[in-house]
Amino acid sequence: MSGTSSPALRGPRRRLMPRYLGVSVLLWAVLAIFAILAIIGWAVLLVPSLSSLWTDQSLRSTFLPPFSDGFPLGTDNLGRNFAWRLIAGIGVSVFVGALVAVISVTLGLALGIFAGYFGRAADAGTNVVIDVTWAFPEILLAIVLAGVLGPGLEAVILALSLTGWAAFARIVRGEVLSLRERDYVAASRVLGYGKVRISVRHLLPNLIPITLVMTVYFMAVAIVAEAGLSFLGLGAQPPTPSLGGILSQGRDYLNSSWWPVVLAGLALSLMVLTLNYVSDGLRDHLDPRVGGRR
Amino acid sequence: MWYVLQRVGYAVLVIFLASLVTFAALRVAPGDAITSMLNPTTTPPDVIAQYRQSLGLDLPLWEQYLMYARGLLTGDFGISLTDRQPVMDIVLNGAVATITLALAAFIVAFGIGVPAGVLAALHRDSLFDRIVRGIGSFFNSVPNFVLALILVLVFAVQLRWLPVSGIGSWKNVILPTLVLAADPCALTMRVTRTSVIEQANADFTRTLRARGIPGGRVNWVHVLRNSLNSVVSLGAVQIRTLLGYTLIVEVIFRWPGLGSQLVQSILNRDYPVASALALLLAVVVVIASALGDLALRWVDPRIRVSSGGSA
Amino acid sequence: MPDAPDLQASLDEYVQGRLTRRGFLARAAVVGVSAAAAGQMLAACSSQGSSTASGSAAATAAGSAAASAAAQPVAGGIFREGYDRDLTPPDPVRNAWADPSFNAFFEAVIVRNPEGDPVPMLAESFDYDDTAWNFTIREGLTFHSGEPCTPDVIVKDFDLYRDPNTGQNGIFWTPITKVSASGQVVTCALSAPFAAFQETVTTEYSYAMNPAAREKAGDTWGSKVIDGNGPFQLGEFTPGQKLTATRWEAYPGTPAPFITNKGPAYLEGIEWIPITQASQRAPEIETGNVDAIKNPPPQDVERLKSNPDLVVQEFQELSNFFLSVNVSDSSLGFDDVRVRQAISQAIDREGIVQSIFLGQAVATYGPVMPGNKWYDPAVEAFNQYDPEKSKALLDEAGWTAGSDGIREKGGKKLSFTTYQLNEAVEVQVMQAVAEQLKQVGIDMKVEAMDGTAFFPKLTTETTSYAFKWLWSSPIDVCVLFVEFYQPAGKVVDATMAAYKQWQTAANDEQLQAGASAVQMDIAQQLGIIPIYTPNTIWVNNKKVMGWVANQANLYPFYNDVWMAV
Repeated sequence: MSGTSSPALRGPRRRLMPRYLGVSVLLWAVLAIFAILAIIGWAVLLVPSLSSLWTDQSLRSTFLPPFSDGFPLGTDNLGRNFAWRLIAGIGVSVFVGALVAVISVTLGLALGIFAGYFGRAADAGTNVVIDVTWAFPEILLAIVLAGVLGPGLEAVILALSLTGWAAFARIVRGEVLSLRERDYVAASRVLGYGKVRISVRHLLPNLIPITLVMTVYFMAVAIVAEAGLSFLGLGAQPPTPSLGGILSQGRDYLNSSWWPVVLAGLALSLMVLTLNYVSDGLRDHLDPRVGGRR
Repeated sequence: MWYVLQRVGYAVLVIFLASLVTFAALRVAPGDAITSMLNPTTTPPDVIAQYRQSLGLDLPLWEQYLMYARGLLTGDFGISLTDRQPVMDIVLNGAVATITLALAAFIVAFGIGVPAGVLAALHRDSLFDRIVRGIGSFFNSVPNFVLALILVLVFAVQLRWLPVSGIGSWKNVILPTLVLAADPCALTMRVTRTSVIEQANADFTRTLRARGIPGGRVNWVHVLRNSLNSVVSLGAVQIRTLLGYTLIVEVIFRWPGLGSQLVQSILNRDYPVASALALLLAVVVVIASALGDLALRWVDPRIRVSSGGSA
Repeated sequence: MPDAPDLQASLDEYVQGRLTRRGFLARAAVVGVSAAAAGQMLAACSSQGSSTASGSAAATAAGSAAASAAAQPVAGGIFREGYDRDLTPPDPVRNAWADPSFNAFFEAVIVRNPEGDPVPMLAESFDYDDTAWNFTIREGLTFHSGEPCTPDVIVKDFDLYRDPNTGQNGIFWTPITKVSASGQVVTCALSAPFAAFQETVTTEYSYAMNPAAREKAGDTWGSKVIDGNGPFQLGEFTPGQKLTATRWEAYPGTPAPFITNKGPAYLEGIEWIPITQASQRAPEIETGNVDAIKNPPPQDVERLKSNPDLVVQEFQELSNFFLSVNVSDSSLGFDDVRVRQAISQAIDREGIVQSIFLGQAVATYGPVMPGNKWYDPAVEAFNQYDPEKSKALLDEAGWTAGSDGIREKGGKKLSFTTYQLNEAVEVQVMQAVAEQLKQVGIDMKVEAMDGTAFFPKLTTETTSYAFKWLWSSPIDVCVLFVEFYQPAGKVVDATMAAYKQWQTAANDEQLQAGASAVQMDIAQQLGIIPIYTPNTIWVNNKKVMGWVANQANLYPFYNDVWMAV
């Protein structure tokens, strides 16, 4: 269900932007926008008093077209302000995507280091878990969790995090395998430092670049996956606005009003595009080894 | 030889564990298969209990798993609870539909992706190269179900050139194929382009050129042959992603393949069908993952997604 | 050519309710329109419910009637029908849902005509009194397999249906103590008068079939084997793709008076194709992928009506969407009828009908749709949208607005979760309802889920749920939802007392009284809170003739259907 591919398998790509433009400024600007969106998402989910902005309905003014009075993007089938629903939906997507990315990357980091640095048994065991997770349909997990926790974003966040970590754990493990042969790691071992201490002091700092790259990448994957599950009705529950929900409902009205689907689709695609570029740009600048040769 | 045996054993272990986990997950998910078999609002509770008993759904989980595993080993996948047909028939029907679609998508993805990638590489940094890469990153970013909705809107709803959904004629294949092929096509193109550029700069190509073999022949035969390795290995690795894609694309286009059957059977709690499909998925993913590892290891030691002993 | 102006005038009279269906058919016959064509015109006029639509539909129907009146039915052709649900293997004994295919594969002993009155089908005649129902079965009937369909077989069928261990519908057969056959007569002995049996015995869940073949087929019954009396035999069933039927050449015809074709079916075959995604239905028929569809989404209906190649028929579905709150829940005040009335009166049913359904539904103030034979308009005195009255009722019941606008009583907030099925349009309705309840200070959250998760949640303990029943015997089914999922107590007792009156009615007059009692009880006591009944919308290509839906049955019959070349 993801709309992106693993960067580790990618060939080279253009850099984020030409270096002379001042990459870091643009990068920071993009990150700031996403941070604002994530805060909006947080507010949508956790500040109920705001909800009237996107849940207030008027059954007498449904399907107003864009540029209607007071409704810059028109209204939906219940006469709700579509502009607010779209913004709130984007915010929710970003918030959920960031959360899933952070959780799966953290899990992946921990288990990847565990597999790569804590002996053959740990390695074998973790690999089995990774492969079984890999072979497990995430939609099944989403349905199971929706059943146990009640349908909603909590179930989606958990389901995506619990399946998403496996890919990253593999990458981390590979990195660790090569890092542990480095001189300073070997030296620390000779000095008698414990594995945990070496992991934290020497392995972790070396894994930060790829972790950052993959966090951004996972965020794109998670945003698409969440939208997909919500599209299938397994994600955000109405009236919580979500891009997947807007798309799925918009599909029912596709024959008469196309703009909800097009706008939500555009928003989703733009986010993924931006995150992909950010992830590639980060990779080029932070960690030339991972790929990104031109 | 020992290495291969080890691989096979490991794959079997992973498949076994995956089947165990999916089986348990399906049964643990709240919900009741009976409600899709009997009218849940008019059937008395004791009748429901009776049905549950006759299907063995009242047994402890491990006993149910044993029954299920015994069936698997004897080739008996059971009967669908909702459709009352042998699971095998349903899986085969679905497989035919999915493979048709996947094959069509593969042909499109490689048929467009490889030539476009080669041409882009040969005319590196030209306008064509830029356009191709631009389109590539666009298709790489548009989620497939969004692409599906847009294509349906344009070609089916507005222009009415193609059917919205369903199967039957060749026209039905076009939209789902395009949606399914979009991202793999972009990826194939990019990987081809990269490989060709790398190969073109490789020593042996320069040697060939120095020996006076015409440029065109060098490009097309030698460079391409070497580049294809990575493209092919990419195909194997992309299978899981593609399976994820087919799932939602099939639902949108009402394409009766394995993906839509899996979603439907999980929602219906049609345990025999869902278990069989999940198992099939696990088998495909494990095999593809093993093949992908081997291929990657062989083609390019630098790209080690999982350098090590995993399947 | 028929005299078009006269016919159109008659049609208009019919639409305006000044002419009965029979009257129209009679006049149509006078001007030389075949009964099938006239029926089709009537059907297109949608006897109830869609006042806005009937004009244009009548116009298109008149156009097609002119064509069909000129043409004689021709045999042959495959009819491809898009169905709005996923298909299940047809089995009247076990199926949770009856699909349209039931009318092709099976026949009933007696069947409901378009007015909702029982008429003979497999029986050549029937009668009932206070002690028994008698059906005289036609002689020489067989099943598709050639095996005889004798009165003894019908007895076996009835025994399967009335035993709750085997039949879906067993709970509706309880007044019947014994079924027996003597000669051609099947007799159902009664413990009490049971005129209401005419509703149950004509549902799809009472259709005749070969019980021996069913038993022999086991799990494959319905998916690989069907042995019924209907005009079509099972072709093949491919789950998720299609179900097909082929003409049964040996079909003896039917005495049912509303079916014109007295011989074997015209069609060579039928294909049912599930189109579960609402937005796909209209494009599927517009692009000619299917010949007919059921239930395009409301927003596509106007466009389909303006398409000169299509005929649109509309009827109120034999269904009702309702909200249920647990009448024994004192912590939320649901045990107080004033709170239930407050909820009901806070719901803007007409607004929902106009905005979500664009008028292709009807607000229901009682549990039965207005188009039904048993409908009592007296229920309309209750449950009208009145938010001020709703607030006053809540105040009166001691629920006062808290600081956040949500009402509370004794520190308990009037806040609860309701469950519903994950059906797009129903989810929208409940969103609208939740927002309307919020306006009067009631906080209702909605959780939508699939059937397999939803139904196990329904018990007498459930705080609240919303659901749409679909059943061809409305009085029986609406009571069911009060009785099954509400704890015993005075609310259920009152409803059951009213239902008893229906169930033990000895004739149509008493049935009407019983039906009214049930409707008035539910409208006032609100054991369930009725909200709306959607229209069933049938759209067919003009090549399709004689595919005529009606208000009294869930699906059309296929005997009269033919494809114009």
